[in-house]
Amino acid sequence: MKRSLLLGFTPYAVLVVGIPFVNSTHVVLGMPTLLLWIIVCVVATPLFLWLAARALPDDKRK
Amino acid sequence: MPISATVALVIVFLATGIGLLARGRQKMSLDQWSVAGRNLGWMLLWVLMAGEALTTATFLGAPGQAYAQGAPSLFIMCYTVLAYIVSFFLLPPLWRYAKRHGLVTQGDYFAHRFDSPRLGAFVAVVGVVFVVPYTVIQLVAMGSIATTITGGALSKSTCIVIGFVCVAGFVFVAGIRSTAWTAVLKDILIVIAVIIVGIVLPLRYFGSYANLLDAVNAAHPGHLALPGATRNMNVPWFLSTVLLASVGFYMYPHLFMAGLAARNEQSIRRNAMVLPIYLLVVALPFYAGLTALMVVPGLSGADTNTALLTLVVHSVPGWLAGVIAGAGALAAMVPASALVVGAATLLSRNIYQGLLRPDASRDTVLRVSRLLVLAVMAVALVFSLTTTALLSQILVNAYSGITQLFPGVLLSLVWRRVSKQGVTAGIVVGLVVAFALILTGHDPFLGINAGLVGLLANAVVTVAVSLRTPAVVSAARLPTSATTSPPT
Repeated sequence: MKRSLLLGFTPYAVLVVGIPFVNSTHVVLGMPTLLLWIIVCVVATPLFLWLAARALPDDKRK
Repeated sequence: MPISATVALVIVFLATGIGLLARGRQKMSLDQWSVAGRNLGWMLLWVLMAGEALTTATFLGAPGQAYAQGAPSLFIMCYTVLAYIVSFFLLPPLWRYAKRHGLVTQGDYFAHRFDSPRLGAFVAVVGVVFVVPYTVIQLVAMGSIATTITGGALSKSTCIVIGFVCVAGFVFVAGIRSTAWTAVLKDILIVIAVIIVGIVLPLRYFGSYANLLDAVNAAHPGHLALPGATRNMNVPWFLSTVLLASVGFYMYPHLFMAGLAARNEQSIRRNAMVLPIYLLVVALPFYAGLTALMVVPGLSGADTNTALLTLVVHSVPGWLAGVIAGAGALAAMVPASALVVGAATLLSRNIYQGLLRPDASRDTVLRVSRLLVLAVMAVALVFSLTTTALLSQILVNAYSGITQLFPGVLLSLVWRRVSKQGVTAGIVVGLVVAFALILTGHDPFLGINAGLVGLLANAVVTVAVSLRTPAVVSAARLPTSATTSPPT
């Protein structure tokens, strides 16, 4: 369960911690850096949740 | 009446018609009405959860906020993805517990977990109180939509009342199932609308997003980074608000109940995994709002809530404006109905039946539910007719309230010693702190979202009071996840 929590909350932590560093008016790939960062983390989330699902203890899984 | 208004009305009536027809399928019982008999397949549940999450806040509120404030409007996309992560872990144990004990609402949950109908009723009241501002957002949005597309022919108040009538109409009859089918229509239309306003229009006016953003940077330096055009919505505000809303998201009665209505735990986790992809579409209204800023500048104050539609009316033929306006109207009507159903269920089940009249018949409770739908909406209507705030600000304030239920929910799942006095004290302290700060103009407080400040106070008080009061709960009422050691 702990491994599952760590995997699942990784994109959460990464997104939050990165915010102060990506806060600028620079435009990259047609996005302000803040938006780009959010999108990168949004796209990574399903992957990490999938890994978290696999790391769940057997009695909680299908 | 301009063609745009005609088209929009057609869409609204179509949706209402679907809502009314959906009732024909099965005899309405209380269970059916609010939780669709625990039978929702994962695809229907996906539509329901996504449809309720992508509301007026992202279609009108976000572009309006992007227009008026800039970068702060990105908080919605940010907190939503974080909320999905939270749901992956938080909802399954709640679902298991609710399934085992036959629970439907968060009032039921607290009443059963703590063996206290009164705590259930208190939680129900909190839930209902904070459904009202969220509903106000939907009704105000309806007003803005209609006012813009009729070019001011009908007053905003008249339009809000029309929206009220439509929503009350189909909710009154079929409850949550009608929401699901209308949500399908709404989701198809809103995606089309968002593609037009978020891709076609920006590219038509500027050729590329980069050009648009360069133009914004030139005309409004600093708009694209925090704090944008505001004084105090900087990085700490953003982080604290996003943290707050990510854990408060599923405390909303309609979303809590939707979670409990899942077919099984696996579908809850599957939703959490898949919904982030749908969320990407929410970036488009941001570009729409910036396009509006460059193309139809000059809106200020609460009028910025109409930024998106003003751009639309300025840029596309009347019939298409009508389609987009209709999509916006559905984006308001569908969540409003789910919100109101959730609130009415809480009131009827956890206060009327749970506390006042435990032996009321199911039909009486159903009838009371329907009356309460009207009552909750009437209260929201009154506020809608008188408010002048930015939609996004109402949203943040609503989260400052509803999130105060989170510490109680979390601790109840993981700690045996949490007591009903602890939970009650925590919620009260959290609400008092948050709203004392908000109402005296101290939000953000030291740069931090007032609701989060309240939440921290809430958590501390809940633990402290629980340590000093007995948790008089039989083992049968404890979730299997709860441990004896205090939270570390």
